[in-house]
Amino acid sequence: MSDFPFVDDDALRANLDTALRHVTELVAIADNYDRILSSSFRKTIIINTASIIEALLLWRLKKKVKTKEIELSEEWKFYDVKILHKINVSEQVVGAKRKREKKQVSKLDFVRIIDLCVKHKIVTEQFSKELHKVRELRNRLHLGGLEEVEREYTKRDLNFVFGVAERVISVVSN
Amino acid sequence: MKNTKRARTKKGTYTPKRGDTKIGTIEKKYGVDLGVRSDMTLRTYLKEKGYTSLAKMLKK
Repeated sequence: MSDFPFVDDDALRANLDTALRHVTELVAIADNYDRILSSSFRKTIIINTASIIEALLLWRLKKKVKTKEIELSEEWKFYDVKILHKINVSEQVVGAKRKREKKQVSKLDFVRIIDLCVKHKIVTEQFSKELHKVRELRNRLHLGGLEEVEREYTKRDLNFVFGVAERVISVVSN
Repeated sequence: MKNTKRARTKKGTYTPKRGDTKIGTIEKKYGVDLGVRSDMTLRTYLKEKGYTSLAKMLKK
């Protein structure tokens, strides 16, 4: 039986179950290694839990878009860009056709997903602060963007993301 | 069609829920000794280790 029975998308539900299984087994074994490895296991757990959170919020948003409870705003899309004049190697004057198109819900990133969930009252402003904290922790997977040596991830960090995940499950399943 | 029913193994028995997994299975799978009874469920183990939220998620 799925741990996400409320999710009506078969592929997503299967992927969520796989991710949660991965998370759960990693938690069970994470403490059996030296400090650095245990911390790395915890970081993997955080990244995977964040992806579960992101997927659940996106699923909720998609449902609301589908039932037209939410209408995403439009944005300019540029087509047929042509160079009209080369100023120098790093500057050009260009011409293009632009068209107003609705944003695609499947292409939203985590930060936009959280903001839209606040805007459409799926989560509260207060809770979004915790979601952004999870997002920032998740983003630490980009090693190239880190300006300092990676810190140690603790059991407290895990309990924080699990608490957020539990709350997200409760919010999106109702 | 929604597939929210409990999955069955090839033998026709129900696959256990995630939290019902025995610690012995995890120990065998990863070659680790978790220092508890092997028939303890993963959910109980997580709860005892202080991961209440995660254990709760596996309960639903």
